[in-house]
Amino acid sequence: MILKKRLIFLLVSFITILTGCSNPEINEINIGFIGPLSTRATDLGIAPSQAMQLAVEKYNSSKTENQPTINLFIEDDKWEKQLALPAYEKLRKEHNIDIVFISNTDGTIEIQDKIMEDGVIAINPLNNDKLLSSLNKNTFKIAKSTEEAHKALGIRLIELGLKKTLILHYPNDFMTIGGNAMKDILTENGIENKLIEVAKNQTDFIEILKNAKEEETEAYVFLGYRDFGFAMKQARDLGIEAPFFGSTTLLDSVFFSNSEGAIIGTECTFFTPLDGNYILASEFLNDYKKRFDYTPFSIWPPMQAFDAMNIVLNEVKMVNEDKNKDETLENWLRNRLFKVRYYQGVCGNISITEDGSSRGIYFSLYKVESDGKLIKIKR
Amino acid sequence: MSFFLLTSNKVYNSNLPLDSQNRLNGILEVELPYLKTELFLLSENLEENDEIALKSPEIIELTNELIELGNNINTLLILKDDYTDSAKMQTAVTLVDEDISRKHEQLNTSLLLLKINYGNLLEDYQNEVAQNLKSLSNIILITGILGILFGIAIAYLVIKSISKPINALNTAALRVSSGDYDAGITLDGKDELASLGASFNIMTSSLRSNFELIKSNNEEIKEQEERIRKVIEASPSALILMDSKKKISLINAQTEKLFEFSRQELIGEPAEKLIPSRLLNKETVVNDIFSSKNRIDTLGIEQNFYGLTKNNGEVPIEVRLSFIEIHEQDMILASIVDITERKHQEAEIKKYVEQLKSKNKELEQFSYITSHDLQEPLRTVLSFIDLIQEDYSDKLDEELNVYLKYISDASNRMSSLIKSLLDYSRIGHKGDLKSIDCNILLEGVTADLKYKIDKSQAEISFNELPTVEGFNLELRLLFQNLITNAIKFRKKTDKPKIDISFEDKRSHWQFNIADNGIGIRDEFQDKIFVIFQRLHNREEYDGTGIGLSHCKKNCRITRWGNLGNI
Repeated sequence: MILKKRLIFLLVSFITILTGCSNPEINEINIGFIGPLSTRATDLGIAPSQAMQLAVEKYNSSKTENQPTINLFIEDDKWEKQLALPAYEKLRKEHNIDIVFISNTDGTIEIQDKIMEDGVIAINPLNNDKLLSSLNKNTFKIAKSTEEAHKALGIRLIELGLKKTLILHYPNDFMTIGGNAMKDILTENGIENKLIEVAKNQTDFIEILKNAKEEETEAYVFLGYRDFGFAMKQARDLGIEAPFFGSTTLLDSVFFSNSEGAIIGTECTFFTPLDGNYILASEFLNDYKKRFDYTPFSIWPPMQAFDAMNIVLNEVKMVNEDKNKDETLENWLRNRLFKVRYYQGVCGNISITEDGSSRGIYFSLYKVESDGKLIKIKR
Repeated sequence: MSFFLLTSNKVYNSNLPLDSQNRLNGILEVELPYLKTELFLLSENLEENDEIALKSPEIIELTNELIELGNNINTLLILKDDYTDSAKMQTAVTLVDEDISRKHEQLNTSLLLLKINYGNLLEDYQNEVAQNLKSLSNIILITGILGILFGIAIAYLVIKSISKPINALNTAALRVSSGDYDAGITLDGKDELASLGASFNIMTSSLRSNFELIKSNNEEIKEQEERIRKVIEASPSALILMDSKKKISLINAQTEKLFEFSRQELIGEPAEKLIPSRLLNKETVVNDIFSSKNRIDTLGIEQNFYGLTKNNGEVPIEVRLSFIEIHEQDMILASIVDITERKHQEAEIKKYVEQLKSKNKELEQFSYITSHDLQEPLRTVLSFIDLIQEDYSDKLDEELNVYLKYISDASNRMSSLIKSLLDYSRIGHKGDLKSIDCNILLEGVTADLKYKIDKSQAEISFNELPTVEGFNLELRLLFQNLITNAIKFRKKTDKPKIDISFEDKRSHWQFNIADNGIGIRDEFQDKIFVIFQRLHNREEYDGTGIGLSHCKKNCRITRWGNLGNI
């Protein structure tokens, strides 16, 4: 009898030791999103945050028992780079986030040092440019290429035979990079161009436009946000009939109302379900409408954010199976993201390259037909 | 296939839609690199001489070349103007028609072969897995059967090793249950069952000693029961124990004797059987005792109560009912006393009291009549003596006058005695009980006795006295007699001092009348209340000797209780 007791004791001890050696499970991971929920470029903040929320909800509702629960916390940066760091600090302090999504390029740069210090992985789900790719190893860009999107616009100008171009751009990194990409291709192809950075809250562009008109400028490019609606109206009021071009941010109802309709006919690079995986994108938009009871005005920001979040969730769900106990979540997730070679998302088939930027999201050329409506341009 | 079509289309169609260009970019930047990576990872996991592992480097190389060629086309043809550049177009056409076409063909062939190899490999693998699974399932089956057999054998041995001592324990337990407390068990070893066997032996030993103890206790209990039974039987009272349904469960011999029923005739019968039907409502007392518990009540003490004998005769009884709880059952014990004799004695006493009252009344009446009737001839005697003394004193000699004086004095004394006797008999014949303020009463008394008080220089003191219930006249006479006595029986040398006070005794007032007079010796304390009893000769202190008798009677009449020491 005593022998039996000893055997049972040994068996229990063995099982205890075995189970005790297993990796401590990660039950929860907190993710933050910093984006413009008010003031400016809210189409780059509100809808993307909701798309990410949708992705998180879908994940949490279908996850298995040993997959971690994801909590998403959202902060407003009003599209101001100065607010990015305080928002990040707040998310860290209050929710101890391990991953942060941030849509503003300047804001992404602002939090660079801090994320390395804290061991946090940063994802920009809207912009992807060479400047961001030159930053630290913890920053990933799961979005269209800023340069490519604007280069396509430059090519369009060249193909239309427009010889003299005025490019006005908003004073932030994204629009500056986009303007320079255009300038480069135009200059390479002998197209006369002028790149002017406007002030942040500038609404009076008459002087610039007058000068451009006098210089017989044949194309006007407005790389910026809603305030350029005033510029378009002012241009038409000055009798400028030359075609307008814009960035990826044209589809904003305030932009349209500021322009008082002058925006109609403006060509821009944009992204719709037709440019991505149409079936998955349509399903996403249906789910979005069902969840939030509306369809976003500008649909590429939520589509990209949805894909970016899903790529991260697709990796994070493996944490308790794949992560070594001595490995930090930061290192493990960074290595996993670098190995993403083929993710079939709503924006298309996406891969992540060695510099943390993504490939596979390609914008097309569209033209504003009316408020909130774009039509695809055929060459 | 898409890649070749898209590149061909790009070269031969200057209006290539941006969608197609984007699609081509997707293939070049995502899909072909993905193919390379997957193939590389696959070949890494295969053996070196595996067909796929051998082909993989070639396919990866072809993929790289196609990516490079595609990028070259993209670089050559960006703008529409590039299509007008014959050199660029020549290069582009060559790239598509020769290089891309050839490499694409090679890649397709290699991929097809790879697919076939992969298919074969997959089939082989599946077959191998199926075979392995089959073998494994056989092994599992055999191992399972062996395991089960081994398990059964082990279980049998374990069960046997446990059941053997348990059976021994069972046998011993059965012996113990049949009363054999000497049943012991011996189990070898140090395990739990051996320990259980030792505990069992201790238990049987303990049971044996406990059983002996219980046996001796039972005997003692039996003796006690016998003693109690004898006490009950010897009780002079009839005892009846009844349950909550009033059924008789125990009686004693006295009950049999009182009610003339045998024990068998009463046990289990309702107690109502022993009560006349006209008194059955008294039974509510029994119910009250059951409901209140611990209560004790009586029947027949203040009211007549009777028991019913077997012959329907009624016996006056006094019943004392007590609630008792026996074995958690509510019971009533009735202790019944036959009060026939007492009732008889009470009737006799009552008769004597009535006779005594009648005699007393007659006596009082006699005293009244006597004293009243005696006054009349005495008054005649005195009148004639007065007439003789007034009319014939000078005609009579001195000796006869002295005799007449003696006769006059004696007659006056007799008149005084008869008057006192008349007054005594009149006490308590009229008047109503009233509330009397003793202060006012005493002020009246002292006012009436003012002459005597002043003459004797008596000092009478009293503090605030209470208001009492009584007959005004009798009380007045009481105080008057006591004060007069105090003045009368004073010491010759001292001025009389009389102090009247009272004490609150809760149930009554105690009045104290103290004086500094001559006092009364202890042996005369009772004598002084006897009518016409005197302790001094008339020469020393005049009076009839009836004053304190008046006082005593006043006290009795006014319900003032007793006169204490004087």
